[in-house]
Amino acid sequence: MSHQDFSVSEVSADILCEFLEVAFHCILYVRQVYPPGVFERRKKYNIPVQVSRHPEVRSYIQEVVKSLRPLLQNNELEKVVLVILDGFERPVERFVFEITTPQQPNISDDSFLLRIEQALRSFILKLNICEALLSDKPKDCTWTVQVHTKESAVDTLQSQPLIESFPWVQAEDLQTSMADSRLVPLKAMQTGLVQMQLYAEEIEDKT
Amino acid sequence: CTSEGLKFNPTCQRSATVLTPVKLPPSRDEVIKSLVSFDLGEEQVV
Amino acid sequence: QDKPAVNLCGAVTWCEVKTLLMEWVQSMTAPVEEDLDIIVQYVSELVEDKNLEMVDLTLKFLRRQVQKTASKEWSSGFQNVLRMAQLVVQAFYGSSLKWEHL
Repeated sequence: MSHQDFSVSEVSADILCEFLEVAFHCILYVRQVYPPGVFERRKKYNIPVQVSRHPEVRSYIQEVVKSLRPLLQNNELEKVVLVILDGFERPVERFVFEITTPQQPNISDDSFLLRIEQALRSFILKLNICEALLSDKPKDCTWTVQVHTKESAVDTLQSQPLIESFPWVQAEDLQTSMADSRLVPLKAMQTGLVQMQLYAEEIEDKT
Repeated sequence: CTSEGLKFNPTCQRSATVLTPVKLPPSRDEVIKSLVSFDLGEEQVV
Repeated sequence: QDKPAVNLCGAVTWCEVKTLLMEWVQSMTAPVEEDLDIIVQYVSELVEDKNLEMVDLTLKFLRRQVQKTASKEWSSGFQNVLRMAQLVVQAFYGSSLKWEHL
């Protein structure tokens, strides 16, 4: 890869990591995985966003996102999924970020950062109102993150220094399958640098 | 197309490697409990 | 290298697609098979292009336009489009779109 290609993939990885961090906090707030009092209002993409003020939640999300950065840079990430699990560890809802890097990333347009920010803003805005589109989830839910990757991603992750303190394993079938689920499309964006769509998926009967 | 649906398996559905962190996020109870003590001033929120 | 954007008879942006759909529904007392096939093809391409948002917008907007006609033929035509679209989504994602039958 030329130096130019390397910086482009770094830029898009940075943008996506920053976005995913904001989006995870947003989902946890909107779906009330933690009570509202645990969150505080910040500003991101020129809109108010809810961010957890609990240090362990914040550092957990940071560790997840830090692990994903090299995968994004190497174009090895296909989907990032935030899964909401009920008291029986059964997935009841999930938020899927499906990411595609264009074959020939294009940042020749000066306003590309602005357009990307606008697009990411619309993702967060849509997440903020997604409660109206989804059925109620049970109380006492937990959550987890799953990433769908190319096989080479396992090596990329293993070679990261972070892997010692924040290891990843193959997800169990029980936590990756959702029977009788329905898709709720949320947002899609297609820019020269990043192509991403976000949709929610929920099972029919969450009780 | 029958009501059973299309049976083909396009490339989009190829099974990917699905990874998840070993470490679990804090539970709702843990967070509520520890924030109560933060808010009472026992520890500084970083 | 750049492939053309997914389009419905040249309409690319949501504004353009909405205009086209509205004109189509308003100008015909009943839909013809070929036109319905084109809509289904468009929706399939959107699914392949990983743009479920646009699929959802298209189907919901089309439904609203069809409801305004109060026409049995249009209603039946729309149901077929919806059924085909759901099959495509099901094939790609293993699940169909959440859909409220109003």
